Amino acid sequence: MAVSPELAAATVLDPDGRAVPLTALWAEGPTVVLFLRHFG
Amino acid sequence: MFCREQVARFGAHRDEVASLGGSIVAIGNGTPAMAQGFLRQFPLPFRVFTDPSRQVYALAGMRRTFGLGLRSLVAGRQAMKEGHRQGKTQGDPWQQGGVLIVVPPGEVVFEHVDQFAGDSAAPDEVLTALRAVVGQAP
Repeated sequence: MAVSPELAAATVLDPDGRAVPLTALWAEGPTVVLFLRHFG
Repeated sequence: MFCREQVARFGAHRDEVASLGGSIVAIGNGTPAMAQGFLRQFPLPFRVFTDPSRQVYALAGMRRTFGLGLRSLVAGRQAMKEGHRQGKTQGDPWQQGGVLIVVPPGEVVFEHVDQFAGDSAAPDEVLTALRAVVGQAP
């Protein structure tokens, strides 16, 4: 199942607040993406 | 507490994931400062990002549920037995987590959407899926 175009276009922030394209997270190979409930 | 448990369980498998040509990233939903604070407290062996608007969570199909049910309390008891403790919630307290495996350029080959707090995917299940992706028998 391909990620939706909306998800592919989304960004996240690194801990320094810089926007990172979501697609960059898995650009290098198979990537396990953990969605945390929150930080705590 | 459950997010601490989740990152600890998966962090222990980072080298195995790397040996399969993969990597692990984590996405939280607080501010970048909260992510920095979390990393100071729990230095993680993988990259961490945050999605303060929770737009990515929603687009990825992650759930929001209200309250903690019996299943979460049972899972919490187990997590505490393993030494994990509840910290100050930094982010949306009702956001649930999950796990995806995505292969370039953007194919989701594994999906686990937590149905309640503590309903995390088992690392073994995720590793089995990853091995299948790279064509390696368990």
